[in-house]
Amino acid sequence: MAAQRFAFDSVNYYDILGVARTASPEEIRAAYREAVRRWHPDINPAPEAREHFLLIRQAYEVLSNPEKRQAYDQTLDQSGETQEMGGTAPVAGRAPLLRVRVSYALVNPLDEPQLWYAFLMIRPPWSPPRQPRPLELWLLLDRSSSMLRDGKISLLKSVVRDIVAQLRPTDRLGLVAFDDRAELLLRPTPVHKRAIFMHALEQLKPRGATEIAHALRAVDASLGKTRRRGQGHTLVWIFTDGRTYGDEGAALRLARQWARQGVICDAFGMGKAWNEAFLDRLTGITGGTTHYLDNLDGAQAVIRDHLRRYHHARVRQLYLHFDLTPGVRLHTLYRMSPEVAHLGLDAPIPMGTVGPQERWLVLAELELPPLYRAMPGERWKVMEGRLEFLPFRGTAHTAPFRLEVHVEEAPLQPPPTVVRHAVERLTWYRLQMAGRTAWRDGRIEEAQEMFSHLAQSLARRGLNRLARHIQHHATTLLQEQRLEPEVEKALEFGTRMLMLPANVYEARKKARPRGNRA
Amino acid sequence: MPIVCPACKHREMVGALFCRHCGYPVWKEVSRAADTSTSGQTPDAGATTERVRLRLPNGIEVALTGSGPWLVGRPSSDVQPDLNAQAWGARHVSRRHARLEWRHGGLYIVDLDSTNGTWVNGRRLTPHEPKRLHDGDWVRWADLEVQIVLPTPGSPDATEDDAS
Repeated sequence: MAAQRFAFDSVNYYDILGVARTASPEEIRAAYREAVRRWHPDINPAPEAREHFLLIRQAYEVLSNPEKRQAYDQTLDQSGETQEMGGTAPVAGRAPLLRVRVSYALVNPLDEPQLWYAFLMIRPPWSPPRQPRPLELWLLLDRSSSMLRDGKISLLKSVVRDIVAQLRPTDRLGLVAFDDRAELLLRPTPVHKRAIFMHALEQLKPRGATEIAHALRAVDASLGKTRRRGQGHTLVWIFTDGRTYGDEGAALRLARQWARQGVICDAFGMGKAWNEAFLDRLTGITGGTTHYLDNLDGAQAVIRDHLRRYHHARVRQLYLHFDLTPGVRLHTLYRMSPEVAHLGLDAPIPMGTVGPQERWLVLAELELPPLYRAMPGERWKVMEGRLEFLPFRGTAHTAPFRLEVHVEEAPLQPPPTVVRHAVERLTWYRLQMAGRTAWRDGRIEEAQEMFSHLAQSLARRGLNRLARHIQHHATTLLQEQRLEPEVEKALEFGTRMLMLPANVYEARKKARPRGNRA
Repeated sequence: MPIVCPACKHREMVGALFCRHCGYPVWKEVSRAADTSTSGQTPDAGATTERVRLRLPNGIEVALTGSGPWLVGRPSSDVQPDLNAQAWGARHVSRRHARLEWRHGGLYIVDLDSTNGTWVNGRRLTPHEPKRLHDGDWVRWADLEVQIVLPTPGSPDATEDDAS
């Protein structure tokens, strides 16, 4: 039966070590050490221990060697242990556009609701462009007076200089400075005229408060006006350290309008006072992401990834459309690649674009209704949907899909590692959120407990540095009854970063200065 | 019926993979129940053959040998502690700092009225008052913090690969 293809039928090296396909080298090492401790024939007298121990060694030999691991991954990709849907790509090869793995392919007919997870791996249908696509990039620079504190204004200027250096001569860059009003410093100008940008940057003198909508309006007037043939993305990047008050609605309305025009908006928060919930919403509407900038090295890594993605974008935008079967509830939807974002729940959901070697990874947490009325052996439809890939020119490519469960009174199979891995990371992120909420509500002991649990969970996975960091904050919280806003931001974005694919996570972590790693 | 997290006793919906209160992998309980129903075996508590380990700040794990009790401290002419904290980088531990021991099937720690104190998960212990330790607890002796790794059957580490 087709739904059976979900099942955990073949045991691969990742399953032997109990790690996900996306596990980092350090996680693999930690899992290996743990497995050896349990299965070494000197320790474990069971007759099957020896055989299992040899398998563990074999698995580690392959997965600890990057080349062998890559070759092994390719054989796994061809083995089709995953449900494949959405048809194949019209141009770029025959691989399926969508692979799905779910927590339980087989569920029991219960008289109570149950949680259910689906992990979607989506590939773009087209090859990367031969030439990098010229971008129209707008930088919206917060110059409110608070930018003078903690060297934020100089960090911002360094970041802008870095962006100018990383752009290509065919890209065009526009600059807007804003406080409680907005000033167009420079219309989109070809980047080869670098001196102009440096001069404009010198004019950035902090004053006033933060109001984002003014800046968005200033851009709106001339956005995409000069679009030319072969033009790539039009992007708006907001750099801010403040909280905007009263104009959120206006800003969100503009973002919705831009989303329809294919403009993507990303945000970069600096310092401790900016409002990540608002910026997450604003950028999410357009398929963009929000980041935390606390140092130049980290910023450079993020900006490099973004520019590579947009220069070599394979689609303008991906939209996820879906219809849930009545009774099914969608709790949350997280994009774990490219960049981490808490997606909205109203379909169609914009998912941004991917660069070379990137794919979309999305984790959905759903609640299934009581299924006791399902027929034994029924394949019960959870949702139907379609992926809509928007190209830069021409018509969209649409790929339909359908998720279902096999309802049967039978023992459950353990969830696939890739799903466990993703859900574990989501759990860490939520523990951090719950801890901060408890702290804000004055439930300090509970907050301390949440952070301690989080630290213990991380340490079990070999993430010792982050674990110690969080344990330290938990201790401080209890002893001194304080949790600095900077620490909250570090917790939020540190645990978000863990959701990234292992290779991206490693690269970003490496870029951060010592002692500041999240 | 809902899943009850074995680590913190919070309730989770059927289908939950991790406890949202403490991060415990509750999916294992479900798989274990499935194993029991098919093979008739119960998960055994054969953990006593495995050892307590201390995870040091550098990530290295030290297994405790013997059956205890273990004296933690700094060696001097009249004291030879079982666990030499100085060797792990501690600089301000007392000669007789604390004692680890098994009691009623659980691992306990007792601070021996040390100068700079013993802390468990950020709370300072009252001297001579035994405190039960659990898997993953953070213990600090003066300036050295270690994590306790217990091989109990309920600990996620001990059952990590049961599924595969």
